[in-house]
Amino acid sequence: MTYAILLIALLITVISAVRARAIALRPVVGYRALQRTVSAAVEGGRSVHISLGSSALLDESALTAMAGAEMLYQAAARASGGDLPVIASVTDPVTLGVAHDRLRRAYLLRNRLEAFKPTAARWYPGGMLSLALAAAVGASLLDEEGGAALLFGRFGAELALIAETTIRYDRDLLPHSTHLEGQAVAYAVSETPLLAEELFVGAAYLEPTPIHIGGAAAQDALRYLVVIVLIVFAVLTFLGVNL
Amino acid sequence: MTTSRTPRRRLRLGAALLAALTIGIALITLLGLEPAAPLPAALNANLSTLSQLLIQLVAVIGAIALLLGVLNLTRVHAAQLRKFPHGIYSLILLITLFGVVLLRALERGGVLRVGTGDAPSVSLTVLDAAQVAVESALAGLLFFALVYSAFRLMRNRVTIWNALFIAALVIVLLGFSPLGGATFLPSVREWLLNVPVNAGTRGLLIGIAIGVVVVGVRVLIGRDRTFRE
Repeated sequence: MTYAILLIALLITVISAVRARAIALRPVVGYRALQRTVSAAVEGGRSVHISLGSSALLDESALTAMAGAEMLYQAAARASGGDLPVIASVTDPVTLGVAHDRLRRAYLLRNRLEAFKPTAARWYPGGMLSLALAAAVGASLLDEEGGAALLFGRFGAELALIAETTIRYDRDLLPHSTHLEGQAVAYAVSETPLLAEELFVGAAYLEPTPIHIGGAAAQDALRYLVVIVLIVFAVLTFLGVNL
Repeated sequence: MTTSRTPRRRLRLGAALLAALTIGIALITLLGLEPAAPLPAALNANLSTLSQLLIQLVAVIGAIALLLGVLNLTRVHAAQLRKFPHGIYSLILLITLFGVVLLRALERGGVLRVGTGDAPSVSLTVLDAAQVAVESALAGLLFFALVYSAFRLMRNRVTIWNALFIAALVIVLLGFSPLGGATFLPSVREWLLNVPVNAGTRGLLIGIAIGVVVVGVRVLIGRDRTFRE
């Protein structure tokens, strides 16, 4: 079953990548907001804080961490032209290495490697709620003239603490979480949150290469496939067919 | 007439090797964790052993990475010490960090002993007394942060979705409270949590799972950024 799902996803991704020019992606409000938010922070002479929460390469959220790292790169590439450093924070020490690499690549893209500081990628101990990270992100926004907090990854209800800081001190916030509690808080505190699976297609909107567009199209196609399968199963169950 | 062309990306040997290594290891781990039926049983068993070994190696890397994390934390906060008055928080953090490390080292070395062997260690007692209390206090603040967020949500813009969100929140909160006479509220809350919330939760989780599959495919075919540039 696992291999069948992977094969279907691979096939749709490759076919869609070949036909990428003909594919129009559905608009995602969060990605428009991301570009606006980052530009506003850079033009206002403020830094941008990007956090991957408790996404970790060594547990079941490994691919969420990879997707978050891609968003970190995309956002940092846009913010690395600013005067103040882009800050990244994680709670998984292995993911710290990836965050460090993506930040460095973003500065390299802008030919500003001399402005990159190794301490801009930071690790904070995580717990059940990553409260240490939430406190650190809030403190960093205030102490280091942060203009925006971009949250991509696994956050719980502690996201509300970061949001509270951004609201009180008039900073921008673009939240996302793959955890239900965090997602609910993100919806409550922001007008433009990224919703659950939208994180995984970020590159298609911010750097639309054929493979990324193919991935986004595959994700949509698989979603419709799951919806159809669920409806068929529901109808069959309603009709009394034993499955 | 000139024709604009996208410059071809040069294949770097290092990136190609890294991609080949990652794809190979990813496939071995996948086959080890989820044996493929068409493969011979002996091969599946060998792949399973190999994948377990790889996972153990990852655990070792995780332990080493934790040390790097602590070094990173120390370096970041040592640099913050110069900033007054914010540096005071970094100073507290560093003192606590080294204090706990010292305490644990003394315990492990047998220098610091409290009571009999069954007594809880000092470092664990410190953890319970300080960190758990502080985390509980912060978690308590979450309630106020969430209520304020809900208030802000309605103040900024009233949409049907925002109204629905607040209505659901109020019903669930009231459903938990022992209001006299409002016996129907707990059953409404139960229905709300079991039917629409459960359905929405599953929808979100399925969406995330599909996203994870698509990113997994991108990594498996070596198209992740790690292998490029």
